[in-house]
Amino acid sequence: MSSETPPVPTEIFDRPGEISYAALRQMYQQTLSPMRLVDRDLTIIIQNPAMERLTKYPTLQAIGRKCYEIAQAVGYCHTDRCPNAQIFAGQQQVEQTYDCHLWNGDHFPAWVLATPFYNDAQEMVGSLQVIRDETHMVAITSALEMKNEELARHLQQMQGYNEIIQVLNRETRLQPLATATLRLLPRFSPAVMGLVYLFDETNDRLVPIATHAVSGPTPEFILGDGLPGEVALNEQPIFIDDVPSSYFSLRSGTGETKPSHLACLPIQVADRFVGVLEVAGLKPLSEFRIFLEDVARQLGIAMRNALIFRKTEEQAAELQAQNERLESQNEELRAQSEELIAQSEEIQSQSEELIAQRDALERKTMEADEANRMKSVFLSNMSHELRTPLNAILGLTRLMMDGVAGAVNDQQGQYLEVVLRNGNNLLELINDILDLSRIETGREEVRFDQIHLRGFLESLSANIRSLAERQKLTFNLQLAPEVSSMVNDERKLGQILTNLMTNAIKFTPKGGAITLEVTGEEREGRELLCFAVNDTGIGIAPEHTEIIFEPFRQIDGSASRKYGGSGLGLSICKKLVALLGGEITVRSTLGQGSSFTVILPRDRRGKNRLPDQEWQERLHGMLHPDTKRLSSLISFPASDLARETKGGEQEGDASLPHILLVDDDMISVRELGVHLREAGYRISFCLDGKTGLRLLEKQRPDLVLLDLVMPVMDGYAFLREMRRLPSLSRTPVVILSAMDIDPNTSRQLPPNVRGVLAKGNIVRADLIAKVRQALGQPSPQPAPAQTTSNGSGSATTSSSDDSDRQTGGRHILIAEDNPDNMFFLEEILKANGYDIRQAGNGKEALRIAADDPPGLILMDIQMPDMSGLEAVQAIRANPSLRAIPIVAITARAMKGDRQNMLDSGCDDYISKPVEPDVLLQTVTKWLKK
Amino acid sequence: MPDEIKQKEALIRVITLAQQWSGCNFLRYNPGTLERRVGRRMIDARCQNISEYLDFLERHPSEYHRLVAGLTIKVSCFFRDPPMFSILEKVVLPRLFAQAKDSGRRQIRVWSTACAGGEEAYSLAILFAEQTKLISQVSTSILATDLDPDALASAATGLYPDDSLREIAKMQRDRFFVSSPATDGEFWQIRPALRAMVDFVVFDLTSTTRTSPPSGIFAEYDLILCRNMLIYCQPSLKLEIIRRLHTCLRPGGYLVLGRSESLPEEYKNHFVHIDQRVKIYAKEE
Ligand SMILES: C[S@@+](CC[C@H](N)C(=O)[O-])C[C@H]1O[C@@H](n2cnc3c(N)ncnc32)[C@H](O)[C@@H]1O
Repeated sequence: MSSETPPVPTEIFDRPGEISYAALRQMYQQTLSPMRLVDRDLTIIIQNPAMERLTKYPTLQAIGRKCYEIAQAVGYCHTDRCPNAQIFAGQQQVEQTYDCHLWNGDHFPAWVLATPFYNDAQEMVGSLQVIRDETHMVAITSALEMKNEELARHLQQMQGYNEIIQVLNRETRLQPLATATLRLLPRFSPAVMGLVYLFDETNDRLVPIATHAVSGPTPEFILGDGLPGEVALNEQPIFIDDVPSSYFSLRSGTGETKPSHLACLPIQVADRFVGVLEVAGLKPLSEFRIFLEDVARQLGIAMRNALIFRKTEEQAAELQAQNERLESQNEELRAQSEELIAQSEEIQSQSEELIAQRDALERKTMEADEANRMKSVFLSNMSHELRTPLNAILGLTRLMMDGVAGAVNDQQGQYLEVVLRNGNNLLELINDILDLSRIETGREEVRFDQIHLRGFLESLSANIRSLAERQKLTFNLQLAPEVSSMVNDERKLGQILTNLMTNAIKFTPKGGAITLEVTGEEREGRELLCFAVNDTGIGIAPEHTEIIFEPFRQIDGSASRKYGGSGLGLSICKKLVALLGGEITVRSTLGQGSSFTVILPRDRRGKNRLPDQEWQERLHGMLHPDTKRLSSLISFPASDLARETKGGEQEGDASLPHILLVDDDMISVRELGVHLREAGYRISFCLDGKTGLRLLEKQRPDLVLLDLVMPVMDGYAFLREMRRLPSLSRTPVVILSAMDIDPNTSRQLPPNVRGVLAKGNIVRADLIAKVRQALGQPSPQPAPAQTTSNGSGSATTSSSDDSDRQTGGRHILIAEDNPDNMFFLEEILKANGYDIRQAGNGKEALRIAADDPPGLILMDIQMPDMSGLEAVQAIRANPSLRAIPIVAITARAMKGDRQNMLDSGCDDYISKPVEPDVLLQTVTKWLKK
Repeated sequence: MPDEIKQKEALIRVITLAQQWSGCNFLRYNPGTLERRVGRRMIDARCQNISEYLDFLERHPSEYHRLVAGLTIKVSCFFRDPPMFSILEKVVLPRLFAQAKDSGRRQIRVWSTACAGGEEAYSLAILFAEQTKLISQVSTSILATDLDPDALASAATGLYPDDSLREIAKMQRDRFFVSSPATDGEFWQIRPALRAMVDFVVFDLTSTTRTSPPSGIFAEYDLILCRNMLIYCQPSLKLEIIRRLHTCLRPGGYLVLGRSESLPEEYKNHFVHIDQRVKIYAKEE
């Protein structure tokens, strides 16, 4: 403020620095700040024109009135907070804002500034008030606040958008990314629930792929249909407020609240329509339009990427598959070219011989083939139809003979016997035909059982012997000492031998002799077993020895009438023998007798041993430690093992439990040896049962680990011999078996057998646990894993151990479509006091079972409408019925499908024709549980 | 009946018979391969078409054996897929020895599941034999199995053509093989010491009653190779076999597949793919 100060009109100042009255007055009059002076009684002394304008009260009239009569501050006037009162109380300055009410009812937000007013004597005589109308300021502030809020909301949306983008970037799979987006929306917008539809281009449909909080069905839409369809068609978003509340219902949380505002937006990527985003909220969604559109856009990009990703993955998988195909074809080609070279020589030598063969074959094939196949199909269809009524006839006849329907007199009894016998013959014939057709159509499977020959043949012979004796024939079983076990299908072998032997009995006159002779033989390096059934019967003419094996051809049609049987037995035998990998031949002299010989491989699975010489050499190497040559590279304790055996003495700490391994498989012996030693046992071993017995007597081990299939003396023979030695019969034995042992055999194992372990299915812990248990050692861990996950580990027998089963009622539900059979089953069960419910098909069975869960279900497997197996599956899928035991009733011919049956969820089965005893046994077995 | 359908049915019947005969689940192999393989037998037997061959088969039981042997393909050679063997040697073997030592096991158990003529199993044996320092503390048992007993018999004989040894360095070759004098040096004979490291046993990978070879007793292996067998199987069978092999592996153990094979989707999470270049997978611990 120096010389630059603009010139001031002189009349402003009376003297320099002292403002003139005129200037002062002008300022007072002209200022826009409303001012008034109030005395200590709050009477207005004076107010300026600005105040007159503000209060709309003429100054002349205002003078002398009380200040609050003209402009009053509600809540302030007449209180300590009155600005004037505060000034009079000594404040130098009071500043306040309040709502100012004018005499005429107007009011406005006001800002008030009060200062003291002094007289010449410096006494405070009044208060000088400046009052300002703040209306415009309030408007500005609230506008600002609104702006602020909006910014905050934007920020929130940006955050939401950001978070959604992050999720979308992280996720590459379609469904999860859509779901994640829907889940995030409520945090950043009023959208509380929603759906994402994917546009399926091939079908022009919108398919819901993700929902959030939506309950009830989510239908698909076609273009133009419904809200999503409309959006899809126009590719324009739609916002609707106040939708009828039934449009959506909220699944959770907010209870009954129905969102009544909808938004439906197209999901697009660069003009390409991808899908629809549909959301609903409790508040209007249109304010969030931009946000939602942004989200939809990002969702679109992510969804398109996901679709592309999916496609790429599919293509990669396809490529991989192609790669594998190529590789396998490559290998094939190489194999073929290698083989071709090797074979060209061989082929030449064979060709002439083969050409001759071919011509003969050609003729036969044409004729036989087609007829044969048709026949098989026809037969298997027929037989079911035939057997169903027959089963009913037989069952009811038997019941009648048992006097269930009242006493039967002698004559009636005889009639019934004839009916029964003929019925049985007929059934046998049908079964034979069926057997044959099953084998021919390839539906028969071969099981690999480990057959303990002596036990097997003795139980087979027991029946034959009594049959023979009834015909006044002698029967002899001769089993060569060197044969004791084989691997093949036990049931089928039994069928073959029984068939041959009953045939022999049939065709041998009184006083004759039948023998079954079993010998071992070796041919071309293959171990074979010969089963010869010899008789002293009528014999077969040489020209007929071929024909007798052919089905539906008999030497003399009358034979079957005279001797009974279907005449199909030998054809079946022949087919079965072929299936078991062998041959059947016949030698016979008319009038003197016949001899049927079945030759089978000792192990049906083919050669799984090394060539004998090789094997011998290796054994030798292991048994004689000085021949270090072979085992120089394996740092395996084979040599120690061998030393033990050789001297018959075991070394090592004598306080350790001693285990004897009896197993001919060197690999097994080694694996067992290594791990048992590691676990702290003393081991000795031998490779056959005979040596095993010697070691047993000499060394008195604490436990024997025994294999079943061995040369010289197998495991069964070993166990039998062991029982003869009183001092040793108690030595615990654990069996290690390469094949599953059938429940019948395992039931017959002597009591010192403490368990059966399945070779190849167990882990080390299983073995150690079993050994400890057999030795009576406490187990270190509470419960070692018993089996590997395929489940068939150490268990001897399977299935029926379901202690957690809970049964419903005690009544039995029978599902059977044939009324006669139903009647028959019902008769037997009712007579034994069971309560019965009936169902005529699978569907019905399901319904009845659900209404009132039975204690047991008997289910015929072949039924119309819903087959038995389907019904079983449906029952097993129903949690409340799952535990009910189900016993299948099957046709005899389906016996081979046993595993099938148990796999499909049945607990057990009985076959037709149902024997009352078997039925009752089975029913009590399962109802008890 | 149109001839084409008749031939198709005959083919299925032939395969069914092969399945009944061998117990191996051939019906779930790739039909294309089977058709070509049966076709080959058909030609060898001088038959005009499959139904003629079917007839031939039913009348000549000795053909069963040849049919079953002919259905599978036994191409192999020593150190086939060299990068894989190199990683086995440099990465997997040291880890296996370390794992065995850490857990106090005295044996490493290896299973070559479809070993054909034994080339793969002997290649492994060579790798282990080379670890001379380690092998004295921890022994190895190498079990080699295959469906085909003839292939195993020839594996046990251990005679290989020159070409099969092409991936073996000369020095190594002379350590583990002797040139067979009877063949003018065209064939090589495995030395007995190497021969003794491997056991050969028949085992069918499609078996549902045994998860691993009974001879080996325990379904617990440290290293399993299943190479170039799954390429012949339909996906469901492949999955089933992988499932069984998975249960046979000790946690932390390794599964090796063929170069163009891969784990089914269902099993990707159960294994760690240890090196993208080769098909070696570690079972999750
Ligand atoms: C191409 S070779 C693979 C040889 C070797 N693993 C390799 O990769 O070089 C396939 C082998 O799988 C065997 N094989 C096929 N089916 C089998 C099965 N079900 N069980 C065991 N081996 C089988 C065949 O006998 C054949 O030896």
